[in-house]
Amino acid sequence: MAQIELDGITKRYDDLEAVSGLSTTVKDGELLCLLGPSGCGKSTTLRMIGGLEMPTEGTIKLDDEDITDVPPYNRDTSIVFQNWELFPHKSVRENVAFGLKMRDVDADERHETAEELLERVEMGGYGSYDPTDLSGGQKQRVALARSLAVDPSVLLLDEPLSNLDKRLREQMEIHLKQIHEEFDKTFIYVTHNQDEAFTLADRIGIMNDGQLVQVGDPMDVYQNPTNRFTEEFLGDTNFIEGKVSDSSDQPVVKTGFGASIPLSKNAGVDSGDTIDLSLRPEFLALSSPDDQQSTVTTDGGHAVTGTVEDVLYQGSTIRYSVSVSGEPLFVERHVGDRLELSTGDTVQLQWDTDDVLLFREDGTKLDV
Amino acid sequence: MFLLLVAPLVVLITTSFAGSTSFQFPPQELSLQWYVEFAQSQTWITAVKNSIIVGTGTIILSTTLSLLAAFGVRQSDVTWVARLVPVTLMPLFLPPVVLGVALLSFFGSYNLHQTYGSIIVAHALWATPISFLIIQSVMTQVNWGLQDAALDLGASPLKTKFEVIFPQIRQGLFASALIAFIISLQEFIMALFLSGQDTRTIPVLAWTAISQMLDPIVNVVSTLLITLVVVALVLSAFSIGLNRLARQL
Ligand SMILES: Nc1ncnc2c1ncn2[C@@H]1O[C@H](COP(=O)(O)OP(=O)(O)OP(=O)(O)O)[C@@H](O)[C@H]1O
Ligand SMILES: [Mg+2]
Repeated sequence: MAQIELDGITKRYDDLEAVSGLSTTVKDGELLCLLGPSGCGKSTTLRMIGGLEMPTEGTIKLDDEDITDVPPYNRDTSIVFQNWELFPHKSVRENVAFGLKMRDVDADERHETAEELLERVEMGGYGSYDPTDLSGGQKQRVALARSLAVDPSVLLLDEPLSNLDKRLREQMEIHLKQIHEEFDKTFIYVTHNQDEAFTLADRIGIMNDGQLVQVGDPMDVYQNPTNRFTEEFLGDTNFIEGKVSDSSDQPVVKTGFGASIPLSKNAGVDSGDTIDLSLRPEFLALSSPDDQQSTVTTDGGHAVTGTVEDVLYQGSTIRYSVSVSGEPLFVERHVGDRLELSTGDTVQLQWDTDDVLLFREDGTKLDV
Repeated sequence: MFLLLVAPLVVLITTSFAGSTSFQFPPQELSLQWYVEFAQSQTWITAVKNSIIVGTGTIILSTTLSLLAAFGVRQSDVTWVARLVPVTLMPLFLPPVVLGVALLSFFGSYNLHQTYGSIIVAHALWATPISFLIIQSVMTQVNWGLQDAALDLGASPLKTKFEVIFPQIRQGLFASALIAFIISLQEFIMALFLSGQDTRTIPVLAWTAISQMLDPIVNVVSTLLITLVVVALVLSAFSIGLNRLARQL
């Protein structure tokens, strides 16, 4: 059992609030990803859980035991740091054995454990190396082994892959996932990379500006963002401004290019309120206006015409920027779709009302 | 200008190899006569031993104080602590005679003058500010993230210092120890006030010897001192330099 419970933890530095009243529970054996932009307080949160930073307010519990005031060296947690922090004056083996040495395990035994763990992270045979001679990926593995060596209840990982190139990062994601399953420990993993979070996480916590905005199952968070920030951060999307108009008995949101979306009567909005619409590129159907079949507006859907402003090749996908009544919208298609549109072409964009997400001015989601 | 600085040294060093009693320059013949005499003189051997004891004591005292101070300043959140740092340099600006007299009356009142301890304290008064500055500058290059890693892995704060901070400042400590030793080795005025028959350091004995009559052994001692100081300076400069270099690579 290793369950972490954060209750309203806050960290203030002078007049800066790095983390504001963060509460959540990380279940035993779970891999929770804290995902958020740079400077949102992810590292600070992790360091508070690890004991390297003392919360200004709030409590941290490990299996119902309050560990808020327990110093880092007595906590059953271990951090894998963003820049790994391997001890440069110790060999790889001594690095991995360090935690055991601090626990007074005798030299033979701890070196044996270190070698075993190095094998597990595919670094067998590197024991006598100097950490400064290793590549980024190798250092990352050693740092992981070093933390695993102390057999912590909770492993805290602070963007351990952010200094690696894309290919290596993807390899390491798989490796980490295996390690998580094999060691069956609670992992809290901090990252600003959403691909990483979606690959690894059992649950994702979205952080913004020191606050935990939304926590949930990755697919759920992606499909049902409760907040404009989540929607914006999780994927490239088109935000379009709309206004509530209440002329008839039912309020509707009207956009600059004529498309309007009906709202339920008790949506709690007033006439004149600004509402942001999110049109995700994956829900936008793109077709040439002369392609008769797709001009048919499906039930509850919308179709607008626009001009292709820009075509951007991004490897396997092509991104089209389409101007609709002056508003730029972007759409992505696979190269294989062979749309062969070029700048200046007139196209039609189509979407389902159900796929549009609406957000109030304060960022909260409006349910249609 | 450089010649002016070096000329007395040349005279001194060459005359130490002189074959006669006179302070002639250039000497008539070269020999190691005075070196042999130096090595056989019980008084001089005692002075060398005293200087080493006092120097070592100064190293220990000043390095310990500087380390404690540097860690204290780093860990303190209070801003005025950092502002107080220049105050620690004060002993360097006081005339040694004043310090010597003050310390003499202080230690004298406890009957502690003429002991090694009193000279060590006096010398540490000078050496500590300098070694503190060296250690502080070395500490700015320490990777404190390693301290976090060590604490996280279960090392107590004290063990953390030994395991990961100390190896990073080793060269700085070495340099600061050497400089403390040099300061102690060459300091004369305070040692003169505070030393007794049995605790005379090399400069004090040299002064006593010279004031009675021109003793060529003084030349020998001076030559040895100069060599020692130059070697120590080169070593310490080298160790600080290596430290920098290692960090930049
Ligand atoms: N020791 C400190 N003193 C003052 N401010 C700090 C300190 N540590 C962090 N902060 C501030 O707290 C905020 C959150 O920092 P934190 O390092 O937790 O962000 P992060 O989400 O980990 O960002 P990144 O993705 O860049 O690592 C930042 O504005 C940062 O400047
Ligand atoms: Mg961070």
